[in-house]
Amino acid sequence: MNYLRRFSRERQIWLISLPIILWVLVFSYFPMYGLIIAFQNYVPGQTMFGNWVGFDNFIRFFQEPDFWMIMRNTIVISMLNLLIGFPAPIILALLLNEVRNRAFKKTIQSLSYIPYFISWVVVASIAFTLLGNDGIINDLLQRFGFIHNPIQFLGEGKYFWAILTSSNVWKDVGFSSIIYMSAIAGIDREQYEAGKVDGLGRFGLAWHITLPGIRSTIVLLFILALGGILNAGFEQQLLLGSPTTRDYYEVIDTYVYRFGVQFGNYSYGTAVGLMKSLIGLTLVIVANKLSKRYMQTAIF
Amino acid sequence: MKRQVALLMTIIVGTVLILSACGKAQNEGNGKPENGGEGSTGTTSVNAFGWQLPAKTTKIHFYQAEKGNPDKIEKKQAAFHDYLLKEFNVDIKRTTLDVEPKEKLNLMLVSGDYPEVIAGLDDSAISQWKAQNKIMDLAPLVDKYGPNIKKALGDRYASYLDENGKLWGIPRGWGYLPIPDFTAHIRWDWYQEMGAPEIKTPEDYYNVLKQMVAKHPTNANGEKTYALSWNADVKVNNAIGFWGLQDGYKEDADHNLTHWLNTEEGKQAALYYNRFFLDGLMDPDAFVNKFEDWRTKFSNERIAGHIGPWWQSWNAGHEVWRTTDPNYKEDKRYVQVAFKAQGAEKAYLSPKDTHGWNYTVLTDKAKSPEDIIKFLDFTMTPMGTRLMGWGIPNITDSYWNFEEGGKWSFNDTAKQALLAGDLDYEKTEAANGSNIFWLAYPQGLLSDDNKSTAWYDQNFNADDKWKKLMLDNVADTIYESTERRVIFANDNPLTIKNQQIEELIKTGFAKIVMSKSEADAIKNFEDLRSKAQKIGLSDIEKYRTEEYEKESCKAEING
Repeated sequence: MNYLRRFSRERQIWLISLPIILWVLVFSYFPMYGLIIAFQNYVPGQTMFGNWVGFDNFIRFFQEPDFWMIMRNTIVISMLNLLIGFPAPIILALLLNEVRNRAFKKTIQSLSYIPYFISWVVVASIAFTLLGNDGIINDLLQRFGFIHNPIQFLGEGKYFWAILTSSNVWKDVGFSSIIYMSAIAGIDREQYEAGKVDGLGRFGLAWHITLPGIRSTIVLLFILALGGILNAGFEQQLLLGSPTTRDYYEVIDTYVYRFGVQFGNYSYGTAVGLMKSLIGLTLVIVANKLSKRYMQTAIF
Repeated sequence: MKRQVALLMTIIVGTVLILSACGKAQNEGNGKPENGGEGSTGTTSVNAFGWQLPAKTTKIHFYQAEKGNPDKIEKKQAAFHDYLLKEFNVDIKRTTLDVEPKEKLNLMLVSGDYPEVIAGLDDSAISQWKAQNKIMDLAPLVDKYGPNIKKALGDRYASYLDENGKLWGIPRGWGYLPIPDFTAHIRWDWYQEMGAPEIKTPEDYYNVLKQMVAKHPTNANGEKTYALSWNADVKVNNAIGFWGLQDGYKEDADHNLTHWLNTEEGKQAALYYNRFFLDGLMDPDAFVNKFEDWRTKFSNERIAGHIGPWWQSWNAGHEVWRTTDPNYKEDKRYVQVAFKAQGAEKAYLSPKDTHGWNYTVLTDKAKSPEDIIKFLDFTMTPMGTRLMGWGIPNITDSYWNFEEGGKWSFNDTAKQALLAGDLDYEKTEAANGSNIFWLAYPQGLLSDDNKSTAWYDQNFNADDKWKKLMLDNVADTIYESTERRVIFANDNPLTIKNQQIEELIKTGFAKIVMSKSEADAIKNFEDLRSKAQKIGLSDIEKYRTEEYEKESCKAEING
């Protein structure tokens, strides 16, 4: 009864939300019935309710010879993205917040957004131009006498994670900083005035007022980022990777694409994808609980 | 009276109806065309090619299961479509999409949205479609309407039937065409400059390339040159053929097949390519290059040799230099050479599976399968193959001329342009549509003259001194591999193992070649072997041996 009364009171908001709710139901929930093929040996064109194999597809993934390599790459690349890629836009937002010249600030902001709109195909091409054996960086290093032979930045696995993380950060940092910039804009200016009266310098203001002011935004985005911890990327690996770096670039998504989609093993691909999603969901729930308990901030 | 009139009328009407129904059935039974219908001429006649024009337009709208640019395909088929509609009353249209064909075929199966005809299905796809009753058994249709299909395939026809005598697809591109697909190449003018020392072994090839690079360490722009370069699509099985391995396998006296990872020859081959890298002769981007990167390096004169398909050095070498180098001389090109490792029986570089690339099938949606088979039957005749292979005759951009009565000749203008290297394929193919509708015909030599082939540019190999040189040099490296063909169907538990091993080898071979010392290369080779064994390499070897044995028996039985 209480719900009905509340619904009646908020009916206009529900009406506005209706298209989005329908969109989510149709495109995000309805297709989930397809997950049942993870427990079958599904053959396209045949029924989706036969040929049950239980957890065989899940077990098979754990028994793959490349299982540990794939998990290691996925987790390492995700962790690097989280450790470097997550704080980078916060730092950029804090720095931009300190810029006093409005024109300069706007220019830097706009320039930092541009890479987000560049496709990975173009990014890969830029990376080849810069980092290839005949690339600009090798050329400069050789001209200044630092090296005699070119370094195989793109041909050796040991450089791959660094290149991938740098590309991710370069591409996303500007765009991701928008949300922090808007959170910073929402902080009451009087707090800064009070801080100045109390003798805080610019660093002190950022540390004691700005950062705590956007803490809930940071936590919220961190929890969501944890949910995607096994989403280590896909296009960038396929475009920047090569046979010589496969041991470092193959992640769950590229593996699913190759063995699940390209080779037509749909059940297997679905099982691996489902497992990845369940791990992500578990991490979100755990992080949300911890955040609720210790930081009094939660997304649900 | 009224009752009698009604009875009489009923009898008359009934008789008329029965007679008209019988007449219709008789027409169908006789194979006589119906009048009317789309594009109908109302009468049947025979055209200059001996094709009896159907009264009702034969519609063949097919999907070709390969990745391609739809706009380019559309451009290339438009003129030929109109020609075939006008001259043959056959409305033939091809759809090719820029998506993975396997994904598209699966989507078709799931959605039930597929055309009447599909070209390019492999054995695995055939088994999938057959299991779901989505494709037709063509044997009865071929028995009735396909005498030329049977005649052209001859004894081979039986090999396409399943254990129940059913025919699920008509083969495409079958037959033996003795041209090399894969060879070693060498920069010819640099080689002549050295005095053309004999190349008999991989060692000789290595030494010649090394000397070439020493003499030409950089190109005109000061960029470093290399002996060899590759791109990510390098075909390992062909590259190791110089050591006597056939398509990646060694065969013993009892016809057991051993994978190259389990042979000393395979190890030597992998270490050979590593030596190029250790000595700074292998492009360090060999496995990073995309095809276009590799092509640019090649065109920029940074590569002295090549191990790959014959057309690659043609396409990236002299065909570019002819237009960019004002002082171009004809020996500035690559020439294909052959050699074999010591102890190897011979070099096996170009396997030829005469069974065909794949098949054309008729789905359960085909409305007039007999009409489609009749046209496929026509394309199997030598003249039908010429028409489909060389495209529209008797126009400015034709490859050939055709006269009433079956007389034909090559268009001399196009032939001279081809021999001079000036033929604009894009223009001529858009005008004449050559090979755009490759549904069933062979790629091997045609039965009426035993020398012409559906590949237009392969008809003048004897007249083209460079192609002749290539053939003379590498003819011995071409071998028939039909009996070694093996099908990894979707329901075969070894299919996934095979996919995994192939993926593993792509990575592992690159690692061996790019190893920083010979000891590292040996270690990487052993690691690769051990990983492949863990996945199930010995099961694959066993399966391939068994299948080879079966195919050999079949071949013996078939004659």
